[in-house]
Amino acid sequence: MDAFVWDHRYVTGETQVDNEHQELVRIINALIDLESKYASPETVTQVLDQLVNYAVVHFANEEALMAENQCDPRFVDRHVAVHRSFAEQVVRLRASSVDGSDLEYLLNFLTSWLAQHILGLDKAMVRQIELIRGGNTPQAAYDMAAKITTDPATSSMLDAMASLYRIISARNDALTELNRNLEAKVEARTHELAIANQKLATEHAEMKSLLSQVRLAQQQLLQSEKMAAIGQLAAGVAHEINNPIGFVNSNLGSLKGYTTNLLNLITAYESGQPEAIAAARQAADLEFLREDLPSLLAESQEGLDRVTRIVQDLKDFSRIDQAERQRADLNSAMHSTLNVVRNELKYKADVIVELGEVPEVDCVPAQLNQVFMNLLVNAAQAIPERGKIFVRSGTEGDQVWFEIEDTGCGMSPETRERIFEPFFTTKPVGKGTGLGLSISYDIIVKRHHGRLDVQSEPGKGTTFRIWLPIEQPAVA
Amino acid sequence: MSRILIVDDETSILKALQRLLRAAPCVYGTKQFALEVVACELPSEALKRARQEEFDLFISDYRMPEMDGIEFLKQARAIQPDAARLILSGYADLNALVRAVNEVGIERFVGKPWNDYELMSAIAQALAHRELLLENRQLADLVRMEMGDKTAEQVEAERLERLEPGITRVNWGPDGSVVLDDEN
Repeated sequence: MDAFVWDHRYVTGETQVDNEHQELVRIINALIDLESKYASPETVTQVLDQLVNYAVVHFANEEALMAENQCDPRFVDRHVAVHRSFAEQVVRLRASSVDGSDLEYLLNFLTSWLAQHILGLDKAMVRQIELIRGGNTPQAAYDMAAKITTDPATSSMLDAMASLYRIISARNDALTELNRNLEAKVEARTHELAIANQKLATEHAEMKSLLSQVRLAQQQLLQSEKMAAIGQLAAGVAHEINNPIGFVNSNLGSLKGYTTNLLNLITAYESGQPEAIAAARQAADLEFLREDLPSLLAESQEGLDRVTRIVQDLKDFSRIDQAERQRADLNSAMHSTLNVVRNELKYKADVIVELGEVPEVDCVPAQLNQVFMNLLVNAAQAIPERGKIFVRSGTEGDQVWFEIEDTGCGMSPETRERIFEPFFTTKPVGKGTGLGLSISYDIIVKRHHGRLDVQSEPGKGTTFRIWLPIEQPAVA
Repeated sequence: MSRILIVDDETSILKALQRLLRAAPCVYGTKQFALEVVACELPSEALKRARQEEFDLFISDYRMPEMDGIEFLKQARAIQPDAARLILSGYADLNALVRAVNEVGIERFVGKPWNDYELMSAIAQALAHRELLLENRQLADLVRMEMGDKTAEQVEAERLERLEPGITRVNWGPDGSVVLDDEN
């Protein structure tokens, strides 16, 4: 913007006042210069401070001058009020307008105000002072000064500007007040928001810890359900292991007796005494031994093989290295699970296995074994007297399926709706945890992105079908 | 000769027990029992034998097809109340054990795998106990007859009742007829 150009119109005739006015104009021009050079806010603030300080000194000097000459109080009051208002305005504007366009606005305000003030009030002041010095009373001087209008147009324009300035200044005040209110409100709001934010953060942390607790509980449930299922199996497995060990052990005892008799017989033969040989033959019951020994050994061998197989199946079933995601042959997983639960099933049902071609599937085999076991044990428990359990598998598109069908008691539609609810069970107390199917559902649907379909008809039986994607989605 | 009926769905168990009972001495105190063993794989088959022949002891497995050991012994007791009963099983939960003792009044519960010596002494003890009971009853009956508390007819009726439970009672049908054979 253009500099404030000082010319003769601004000269009031009072030397000190004129000098001070020129100093003010110089400072304003310095500011205008700074503004055009995009000076740093610090520098601008410094010069502004200088201006304000100088203005205050100048106003004090003018007021002292008026007091010295005993100007009319009506005029003095008005003049002083304008000074105060200016100082306030500048201080206020200064706080918010050191940067950018606001500074230009401030400078505009300063130059306009100074020009109007000098031409109006200050010139009127000097005129009155001159009249008083010329021997008039202050009142007369005031009245005369008011009448002296060198140029009526200039005078009325100055009046208009003065009133305009007052209006603007009042508006400015109101605006500033409003601004301050707004700022207070914003601050209060910000504070509230911060508190709310903090609360949210606390709640979030709480939720997080709760969630981890739920996860932990779920893990424990999974584990305890597995233990419960294994507990159910323990009956069958114990029976299955104790039987062969029982007869093999007993057979060994019999074998010991047989061996003693045979050795005695050999001793008798070695002695060559016919009576002794006959007696030993009699004691050994050689005919019976010839028949019984081979079958004793064969049965014992078979019994030990059975124990070995059961232990192997149990190992396969609960293998720790299958607790991670891997590609696994689920048909063989189904076989090892079937071997483990067979003892549980064989008194209730004939198991008919019809497994189809199934590719290796991306899965956690130990978890799927658990599902297979749940479904098989459920199937056996659903059969009241004796029935059949069909186990089938197959591939369709990019999914494999496993099906376990029983000819048991089936389910009513109401029961079927609830079977996946945790702790829902139709079994007598102590027989089921009510978690088997809910955990199976979790394993198939949530962990393997598969599906678990149920078909059931009361009195006819139930079919569970597991669908599993061959490939798990990238983010599991 | 003491007659023993063994039921187990496992053939190898039956054969091992037969070997054991054939060779091992069955002794209780000074008493030695000569044993004759009948082995059945199915409870139904065993019950059939029990209806036809007299046994001194029933030995049963617990987990079997058709019915469990308790159910079998219950039915066997109905047929031959004086025979001793014993369960030989690899597994039974507490419920089964309680039922076996309370409902069937078993003499012993022997676990699998068994110890040959313990099993033999359990069998001998069961047989000796049974003999003692029978002898006791016989003597008591004799004394009661002598004292006039019981008639010879009553004693004979009790003997027949033991031999064929229900034989001394008349089973009236709804139409006044006499039902001779209600279930079998």
